[in-house]
Amino acid sequence: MTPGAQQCGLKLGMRCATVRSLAPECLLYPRDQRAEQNAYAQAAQAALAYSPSVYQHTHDTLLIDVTYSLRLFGGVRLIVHGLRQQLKRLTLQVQSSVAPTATGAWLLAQAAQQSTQHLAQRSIQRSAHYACSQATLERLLNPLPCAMLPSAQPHLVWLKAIGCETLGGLRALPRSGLQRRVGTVLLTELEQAYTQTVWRQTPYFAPEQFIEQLDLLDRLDHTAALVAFSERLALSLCTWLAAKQYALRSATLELHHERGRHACPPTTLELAFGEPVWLMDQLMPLLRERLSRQNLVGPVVALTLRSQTLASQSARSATLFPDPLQAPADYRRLLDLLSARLGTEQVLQPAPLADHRPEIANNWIPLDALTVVATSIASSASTERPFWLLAEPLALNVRNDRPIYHGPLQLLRGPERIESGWWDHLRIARDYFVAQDQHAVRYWIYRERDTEQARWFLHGLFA
Amino acid sequence: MLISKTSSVCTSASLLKLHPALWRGSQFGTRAGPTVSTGFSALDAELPGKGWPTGALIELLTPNSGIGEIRLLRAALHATARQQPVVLLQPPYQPNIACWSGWRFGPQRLLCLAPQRARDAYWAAEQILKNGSCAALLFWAHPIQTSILKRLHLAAQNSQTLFFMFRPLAVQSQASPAVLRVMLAAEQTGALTLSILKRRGPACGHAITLASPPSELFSTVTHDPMDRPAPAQPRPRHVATPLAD
Repeated sequence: MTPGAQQCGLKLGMRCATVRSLAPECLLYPRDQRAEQNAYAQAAQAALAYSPSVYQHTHDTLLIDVTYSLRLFGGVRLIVHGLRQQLKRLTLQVQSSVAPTATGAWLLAQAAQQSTQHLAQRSIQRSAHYACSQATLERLLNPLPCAMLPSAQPHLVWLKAIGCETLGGLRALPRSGLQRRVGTVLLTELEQAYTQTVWRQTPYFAPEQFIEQLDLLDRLDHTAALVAFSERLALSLCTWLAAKQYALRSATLELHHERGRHACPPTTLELAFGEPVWLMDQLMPLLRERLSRQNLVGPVVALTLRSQTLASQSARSATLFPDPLQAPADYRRLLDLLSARLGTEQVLQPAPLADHRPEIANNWIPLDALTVVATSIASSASTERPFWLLAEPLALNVRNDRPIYHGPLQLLRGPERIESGWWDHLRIARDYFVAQDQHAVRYWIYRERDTEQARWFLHGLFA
Repeated sequence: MLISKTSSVCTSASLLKLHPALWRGSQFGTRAGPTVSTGFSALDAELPGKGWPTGALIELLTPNSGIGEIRLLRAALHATARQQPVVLLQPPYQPNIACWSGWRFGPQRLLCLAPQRARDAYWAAEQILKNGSCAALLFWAHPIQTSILKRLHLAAQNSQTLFFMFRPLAVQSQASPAVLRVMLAAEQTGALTLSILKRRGPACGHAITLASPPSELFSTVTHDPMDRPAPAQPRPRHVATPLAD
């Protein structure tokens, strides 16, 4: 139930007809068990960021033992606040409570839930469900009705008959007499709520693989709208990564298209990260660029995000000043992002070849995450090379036996003879000169040697 | 009268201490961020903070390529962190790796981006500046709107990246958010003449002439010796036959 529906006066347990008469504009959806389990798992994974001891209690309650996390996160108040913020980002509504005992915390949360449902007086009850000391816990538990304990259900009539309606009253009764009449189960549960601080159950473990599907309520044919929904999935993925202490190397995002008569196979987007990511602001820019570059073949009805390759999180210390050791990782993330938007063929890295022909030695290759260029060619430092090279040598006009490019060129230095490549069809035989024009721009020009008439070409500029 | 005068002097002096962004018109502004030395003492003396400011937009106005505009930045690029990359965004020609290696830079420090659309180039520049892991960004873009320049200048302010924009001489009359605008001109001797159009400080009336290091372009060329076949060994005409015992 959304907060908007609550404002219209709708309550849980109402009949469909009543709801329609109260708020005709509201939309009714059938209960989705899978979505409920999904939300439950998401909440558990969010809690795992604060403590490894997360227990599934009932179908809608999570118990978190934060005894050993108090110091790390700076107190119970900050833990509750941080967790509530995270769950709010995941668009989950929760009722939280704090108590020294697990059952006590659960009872307080139940009471808070009922008070918001029945009384709709949330403001006065907000702080009354947080009990940090034993005395506060007893004070808060005592007025709660006996009916809240599951094992008290068969004895409710008798308890009401003897005038014992609250947990406090139940606890004040003589033990031996009570045990004779109602058995040990109720007493044990009562003691658990008041005193037992250790909770012995199997804790919740997050699954080893992340797969989550988000069914869209509408058919979407704009990638901009898809970005907003994939952000939900990414947030849940990051929660899972934080719980498992994993970092993501690659993932796939499947865009499911129309089912039924016009069914077509889902589009799969591969997300590969040069540097493992585990935070939203590392993951989202790449996802956004990939989605906005994607051409949709049809309207999208559902999204599935899967984790593929995982790595362990590298310990990154949170420092006040920028850490120079983080720069390579940041740089690899930048390269991922640039190649996602511009395309790998537009992001060029040098791969120099050991060759005397300048145009062959000056080899630039598209960036690929798999190829790491480690070749270092020992360059001859004795001769100066121009900083700019023309992709294709430009033929120059000749006047009075002098090459001309924006005016006559004056030769400053040379020749430097480069003759190579007889073994393949790119054979060159050139005399290179450094030339300068009247605007003092320095050029690297050459004269072909094999031809009868001297032909001059411009090949580079000294920047 | 005297008292009021002293008090006004005190106020202006305390105002200057109040914030580093305040300075008198006759003095250099104090840079909050670090600067990188240009490698030329004559130029350093004319720049606030004695060098190129990092994390700010610097405009270099050049009449055309090939006048020594990259050589001007060579010392500054050497002075930045050795391992951090230098990004060339939309360069006018293909950069030559041999020249870059000859300047004793590692080839893996160079990255060249050639986006197909101008919008992508602006986006790439902004991402590089925001990321902050690069030592320098050299960006050739013309024409470019002032609003985009402002945006890039803002993005640069959160990083330590040296950000140079190369623009043509024609834009010198247009307003720009750059903190430093330098106009370059080449001379026939190979020297580079710089006029500072805008800086955080008093107007710079004179041009600065930077002589290019003479050993670079006018060095006596030492060709590698040509590969000649070795002269034939003299062979004895008569081979002495071993004497039989």
